[in-house]
Amino acid sequence: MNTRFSPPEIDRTAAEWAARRCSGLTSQDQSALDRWLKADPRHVGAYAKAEAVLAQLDRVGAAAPDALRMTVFSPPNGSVLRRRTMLVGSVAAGLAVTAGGAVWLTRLLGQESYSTRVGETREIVLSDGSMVTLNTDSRIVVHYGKARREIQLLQGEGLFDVAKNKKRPFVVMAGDTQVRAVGTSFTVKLLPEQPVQVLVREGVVEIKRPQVPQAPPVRLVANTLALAPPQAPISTEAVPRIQVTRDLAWREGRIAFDNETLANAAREFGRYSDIQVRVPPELENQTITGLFVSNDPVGFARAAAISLNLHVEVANREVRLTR
Amino acid sequence: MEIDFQERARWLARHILPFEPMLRSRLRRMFVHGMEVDDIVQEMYARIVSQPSLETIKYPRQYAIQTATAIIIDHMRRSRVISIHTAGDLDQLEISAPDATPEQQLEFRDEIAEVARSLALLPERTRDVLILRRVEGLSQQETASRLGISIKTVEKHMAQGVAALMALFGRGGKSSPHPSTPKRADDHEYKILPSGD
Repeated sequence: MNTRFSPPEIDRTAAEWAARRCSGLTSQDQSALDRWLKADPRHVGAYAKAEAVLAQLDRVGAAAPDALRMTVFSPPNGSVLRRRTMLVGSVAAGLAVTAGGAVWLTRLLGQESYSTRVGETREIVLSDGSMVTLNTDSRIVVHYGKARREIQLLQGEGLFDVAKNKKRPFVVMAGDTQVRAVGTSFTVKLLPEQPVQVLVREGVVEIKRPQVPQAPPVRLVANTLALAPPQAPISTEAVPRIQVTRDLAWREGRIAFDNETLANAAREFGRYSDIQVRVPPELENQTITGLFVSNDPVGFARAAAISLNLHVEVANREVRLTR
Repeated sequence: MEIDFQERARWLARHILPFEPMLRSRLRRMFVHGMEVDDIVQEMYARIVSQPSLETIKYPRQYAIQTATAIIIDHMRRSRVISIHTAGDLDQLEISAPDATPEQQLEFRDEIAEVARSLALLPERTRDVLILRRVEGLSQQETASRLGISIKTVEKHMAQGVAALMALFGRGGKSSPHPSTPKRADDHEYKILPSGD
């Protein structure tokens, strides 16, 4: 099996080395760093970038220190509101709350919630360094306790890049399904009338459904897809690495299909735009392969029409494919 | 060769880091079998930082693109895989990148905004540590006592902050809808054609 580290893991290690270098390296540290750099050229690249990030902070900090100091007090439009002090009557807070309509904070419950509109994606850095990338039309509530880091996926899809902490497991709850990880990267999808889907990109996760006795817990390794249909056991399937990458194309504002039926492709596009792609029943099982811009259903329909020799009619808020 | 990373990092920060989001968006248009954009970018930094001299690179952005192209070609040769959607695409990657324009001053303002925006996305403590250490120039010890945390915790926040900024800078991670970019019809296609037996 291929046990090489993934790019994000390498980046994290490189960042740790850069932080240690800032604190001052002993000669022992230095030789450990040299060994790590020699082990893989990608380590060199990641470390160079980590140092470049610090250099960029210094460079921008020297030219415009106030612009950076300001970030302590006024997160830009739509950014994360975490500073409690801001909520006590600060003008900036009031502005940010109204301006960042997509983000709100139910502070009394000790929870933060984040959402995306249709066609939007966003990245959220959580207090432990874990990162969440939300896909279109999605919503999560973050509940970090002492013993557990809990995230509730209320709808849509998220990619979770979890910072390692053995003592504080990271649990994503989607419907009746709990996905538990220590330090890893995986997506969870909760869409109407579809089973909960979990795709593991790195590491190991465990899926549990305490209220579904016929579905025992399952452990998933990297490059595995799991489906949790209602009242039935969890099914798993190994997927090729390239498909995992393809399934994450939404992070870049794209959708990738590999021999997907037109019916499924059209439904997928429906998640990203208010314009629906309509496919007549006799064409539903035609298949399509390609990489598409996720918020451009018209472009998708045109490309499908070219490759399947169909016609496109663009009407009010919908695109119809016809023979 | 011993690489002076800190000295070279300044060059990378000025010339390559701000260009990375644009480079990624070009690389993303192609699916290279067995290679993620992240892999290509990491290797690109490795190759550039290992150059004997950076000062002789006159057009850093063109150079970054050429390096990325060379990495993809090497990979395709090694794995005997013909990849990506159209053969024309590698050329498309090379379409001029803006190098050293009169608008550089304006660009630097964008860079300031980008750094500020990314910092604002970080957890509060992590951001405090980065600002005290890098902007205010406090030592590790001073930062620790100012925030009432241990030196070890300062280092932990530093590492988390750098890791998060590496991800955010690279993406140009805007939390806004993706711009709608109408494409030529053949831009919507990709093919993966394993070669050989």
